[in-house]
Amino acid sequence: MDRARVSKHVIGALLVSLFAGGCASEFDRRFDEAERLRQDVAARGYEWINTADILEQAQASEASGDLAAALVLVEQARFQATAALLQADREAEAWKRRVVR
Amino acid sequence: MALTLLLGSLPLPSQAGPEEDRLAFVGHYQSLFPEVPIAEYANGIYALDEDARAQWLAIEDFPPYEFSIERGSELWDTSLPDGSQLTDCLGTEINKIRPQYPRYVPNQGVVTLELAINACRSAAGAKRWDYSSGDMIDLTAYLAFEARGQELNVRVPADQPGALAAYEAGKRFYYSKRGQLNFACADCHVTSVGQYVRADRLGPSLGHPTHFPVYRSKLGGMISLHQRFFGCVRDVRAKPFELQSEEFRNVEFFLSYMSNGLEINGPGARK
Amino acid sequence: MKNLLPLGLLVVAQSLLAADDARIAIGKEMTFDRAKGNCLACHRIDDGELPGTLGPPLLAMKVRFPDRAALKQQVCDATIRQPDSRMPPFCRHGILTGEEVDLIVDYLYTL
Repeated sequence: MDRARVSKHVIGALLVSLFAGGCASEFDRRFDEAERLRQDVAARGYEWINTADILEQAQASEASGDLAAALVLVEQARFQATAALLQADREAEAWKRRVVR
Repeated sequence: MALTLLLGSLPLPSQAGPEEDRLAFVGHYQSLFPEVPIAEYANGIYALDEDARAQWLAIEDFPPYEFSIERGSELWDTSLPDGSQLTDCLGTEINKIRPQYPRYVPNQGVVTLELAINACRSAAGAKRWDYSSGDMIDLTAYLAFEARGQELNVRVPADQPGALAAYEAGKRFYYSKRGQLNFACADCHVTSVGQYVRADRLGPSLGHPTHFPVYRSKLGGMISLHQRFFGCVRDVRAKPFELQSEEFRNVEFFLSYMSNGLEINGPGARK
Repeated sequence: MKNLLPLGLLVVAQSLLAADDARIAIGKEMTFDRAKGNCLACHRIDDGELPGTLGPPLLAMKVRFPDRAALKQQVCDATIRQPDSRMPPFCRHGILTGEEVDLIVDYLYTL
């Protein structure tokens, strides 16, 4: 009986740690993706002003245990970096239209 | 078919030479403000705005940049660690120093006055100045003051492909939208010149580099041209480049070329 | 019960009107907020002080944009109609959400 109860707890603890671990790596995965996009757009000279700050805030939120807030911030940074990359793509040609002639 | 041939034979707009670009650039402002003499653009927005001009002239009665010129003059006369002076490195004709910059140097890219000053200091065993430091700004204010009346004369030598590449990079930067607000330099300072963003009137790019560094009343201090670039890029919510970065030096090269023939009249005073 | 029906309708209608007023008030705030629409930077709006002049004055919006979807698109992303527009692409660049633009449009239609 005791044994059964203990093993139930062990399994429960295992599940919890697996779940938590799963979430943390989900954050890491999404963070890495957003950071990679930010670096891509920085290399093209089109990074926006606060994308890096948002990613820093996301890390701080995650560290303080607020995973939900951290994921919202990561998504915001990913959105910015993606939009900035599209901007860089458009401007590869679009700037020529504005040249005074 | 004939049209296709004709269009096909025209050079792409972005490939127009610097001098064609400059004439078109000047022509743009001329057609917007036919009554304003070109030489007046050295005074920036005060070429276009009577009221602001009156206030500015009143400020110029007791120039807020005078102290900066004085300090710059002292720095000019200060000996460097190896016993030499900046004049030995930058030139003995003091009024001819500022007008030599920005210029293209193979393997170095666009060399600005600030870069040249630091190269001289470095060679003489002195510490390089930070590009936002009071020392750097004061010395450039002094050299601008001594060069007043000299004309901007930026060259893009045909036999130096690197010079044209730097010019083209600066031109591309100037016309490219960037930042979360999606503005190109040209969106405000070409297309919307003279218009209001809230209480502020947008100044012309023509003549912009002639009067730097400037004393900005709003900030209560002197700023360099690159600090002004930094502010604009930040304001459109793009991550600004470093002062004296390759990007900003190329923009300075392009913009200075656009202002060729205008008189150097720095340092200036601005809102 | 019969007599109560019109009264009930009136209450519902009043609360709907109040909801409209509230939306318009929030929309106006978003329009003027410098971190949101900041529309006054470029447009003259009602009695807003020190308006910019880059864009046209915001007035007679119902006449100029009878189609709500067209106005919403113009606020959301002016570069759809004019690729080189100086107006920031508010939605595409994540400055305003679609809901926020809806509120702004509610306010603009009062002008």
